[in-house]
Amino acid sequence: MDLGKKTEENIVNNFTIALAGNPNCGKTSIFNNITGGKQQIGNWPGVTVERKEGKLALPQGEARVVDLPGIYSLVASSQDEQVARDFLMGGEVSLIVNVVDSSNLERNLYLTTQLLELNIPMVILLNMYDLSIQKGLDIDSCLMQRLLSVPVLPINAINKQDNQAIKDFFIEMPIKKGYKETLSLPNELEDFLNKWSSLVVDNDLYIDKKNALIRYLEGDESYLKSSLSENLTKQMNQEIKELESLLKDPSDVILADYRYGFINGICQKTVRIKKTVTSISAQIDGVVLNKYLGIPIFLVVMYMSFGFAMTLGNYFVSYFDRFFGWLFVDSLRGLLEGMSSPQWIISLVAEGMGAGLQTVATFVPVIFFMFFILSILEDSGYMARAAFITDRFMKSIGLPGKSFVPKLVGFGCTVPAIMATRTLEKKRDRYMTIFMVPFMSCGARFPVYAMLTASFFPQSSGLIVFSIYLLGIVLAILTGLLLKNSLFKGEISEFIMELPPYHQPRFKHIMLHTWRRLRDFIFRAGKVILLMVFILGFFNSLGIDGSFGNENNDKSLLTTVGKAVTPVFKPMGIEQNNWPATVGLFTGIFAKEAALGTMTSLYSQIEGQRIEETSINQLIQRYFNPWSAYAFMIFVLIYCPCLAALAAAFREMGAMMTLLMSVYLTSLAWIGATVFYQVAHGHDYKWVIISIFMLIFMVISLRSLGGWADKKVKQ
Amino acid sequence: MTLIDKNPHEQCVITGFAPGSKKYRARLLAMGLTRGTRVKLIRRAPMGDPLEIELRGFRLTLRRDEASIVLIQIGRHDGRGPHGFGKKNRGKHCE
Repeated sequence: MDLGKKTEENIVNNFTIALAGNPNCGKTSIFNNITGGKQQIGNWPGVTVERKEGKLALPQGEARVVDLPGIYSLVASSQDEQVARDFLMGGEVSLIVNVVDSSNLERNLYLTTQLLELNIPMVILLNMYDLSIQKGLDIDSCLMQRLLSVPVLPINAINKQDNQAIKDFFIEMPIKKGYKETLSLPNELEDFLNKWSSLVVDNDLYIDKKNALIRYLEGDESYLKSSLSENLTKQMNQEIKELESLLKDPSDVILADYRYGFINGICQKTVRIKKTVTSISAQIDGVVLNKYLGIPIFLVVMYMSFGFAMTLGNYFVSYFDRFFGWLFVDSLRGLLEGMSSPQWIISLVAEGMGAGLQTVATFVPVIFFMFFILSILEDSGYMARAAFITDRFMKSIGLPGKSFVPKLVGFGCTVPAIMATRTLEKKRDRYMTIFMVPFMSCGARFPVYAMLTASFFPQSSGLIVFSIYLLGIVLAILTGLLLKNSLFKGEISEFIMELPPYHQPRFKHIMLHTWRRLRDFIFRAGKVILLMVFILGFFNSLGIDGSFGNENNDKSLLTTVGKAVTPVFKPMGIEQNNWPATVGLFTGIFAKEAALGTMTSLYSQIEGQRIEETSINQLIQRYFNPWSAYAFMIFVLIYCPCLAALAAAFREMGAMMTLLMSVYLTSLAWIGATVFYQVAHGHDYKWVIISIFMLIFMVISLRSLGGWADKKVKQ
Repeated sequence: MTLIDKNPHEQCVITGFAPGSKKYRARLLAMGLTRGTRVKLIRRAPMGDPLEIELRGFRLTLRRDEASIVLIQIGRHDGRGPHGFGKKNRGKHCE
């Protein structure tokens, strides 16, 4: 989808409005309100930062509205800031709408001071004006307008009437350059800036040369990259050093002092503190973040929210499964048979495509409810608290606290867990979390454990299943430590995070967010799932004799392949006669619980009898022993995640990373299951030694791929 | 003395940054941790890290490593005049 192109055609005068502001300033609400339903969601080029674009009808024509990511500063130290800066500097922007949280004025105005320097027409929306009054502040917006010399409008994005006020404001306000020299700097610094701004050769800068130099001093070198020769840059850096020793402070510290000095001046003139109010948020945090209560409350909140999401989701899964199975597979087959189509077409369309659509559909309820809950947690402000509480624990693995939540979601379903990593800012953190998420044993793997434990460990099935879950957690932590020291060596990200005040979740906002995630899954991940299910289904249906319709019987190509590769699994206790288990592992890639169906149907075909539930256990006892059953559970826990999860991972990390993850997981699964089986029962220690060598080889490979991964992460 | 050395709910003022700490500084400066700013440590997380602080009317969390570069001194004085101003001609419509 070509975002830029599609809209440009429709726009008169090509008027582009950029919404800029801090995170949590209510920018997205304003964007949703003024653009209505006409929105396009995509990604900024080359990065996974979400790009939202909409249209606004103005008398002078239709304007394009772009919602920039929420940022604290234009000095690009994060991907979000980089995206915002590059867009503002790209020359497309006709008007900056700076959304400012009036209840948090000082910090919000920091970005404003930087935006004012950009030489682009600008207006300020003082959002959450009511909240600032509640907080006991009285802001003189008119005086602020005079002092900043850009139009200022106090609003409440939640109010419907203010919507019209914003639109009127855009129509009526004079469009003029919002440039304002905000900083009065020490003389030495002024002299330096004047001297060097005449030496900067590049005249193409949108930003004033002096301000480009200021940004350079603040730590963003990109403005001057092409405008100064290497020699001059060296000379300038030398002068900066001298300047800093003269002023006894690094230049970025001085500049921030002056920016906030300017802001303090504005606030002293325009803000009157009427009363000091202890906020409700602070009172809630007194309990929720309490030293002793914090962790238990966190666990209860997580258990209740995800328990609720999974219960509701699973409730609908069976209906979705049956309905879409009927619609896409059975009806389609019936229709095709009615048209007396050849068997191979029926197999391809119904068992291939139809089954793929059915698979996508069964994930819809789980993803919907999971993101519904996640959005509520995020929108209410609790997510930031969860990150605060779990940060210490995640830090030891080299991840930020927020990455704890996708892992928890992973116990429900790996797919939304992988998608939930988008709440993390850094690519490295996202990738690392995606690698760890599959170890959290998802709901679909549970039936496999349940069946095997019921067959072999009926007395202590709870304990056995728990040990598998625990093993998953331990392996996830070890994987995190390994990746931190091999593939994803990058810096541990900082954890400087605002704790936003709690607020009531906005239903519309949550539904919109949930719908976007769901749509993203259906249309993007869905494509990959469809293709993969189609291919696997094709081989499952295609017999060695070229006939079709051989699903789960011993004539299909998949069965043949399964039989052929069974020796690979012998070291973990799967004997040759247990080839249905191997085929089950293949179909388990469709969906983990499918392994069970395949295995039982193949066993019963071999035994040549229809079987009741009770005798399935007896059948399984014929093919496994307790040790190989446990080894098999270890393998199912760790090996390659299901197609839907792979598709989600592919969407987030690309093909090579996803492939690497599957290979890593499957090898580790083999190693884990083999070591367990041989130590516990087989006592053929050559396999243990081979496993150890494989493990060492894996670690070395991951280490040597570190450079490549580093490049991917920084892209 | 740095931010990590103090007791919760004690008012203090930022005096500067520890030398050689460029890494976290840009973000901390953008968040308003400049010299003379009043900060208050609200609490430590249940596992001792990170910290929650209050400044400029909002709350911020940061890890011990990041807080350890922020130099402070105990007290309320921040070199700024008190808030407040005289009569203002207020009104909805501005020129």
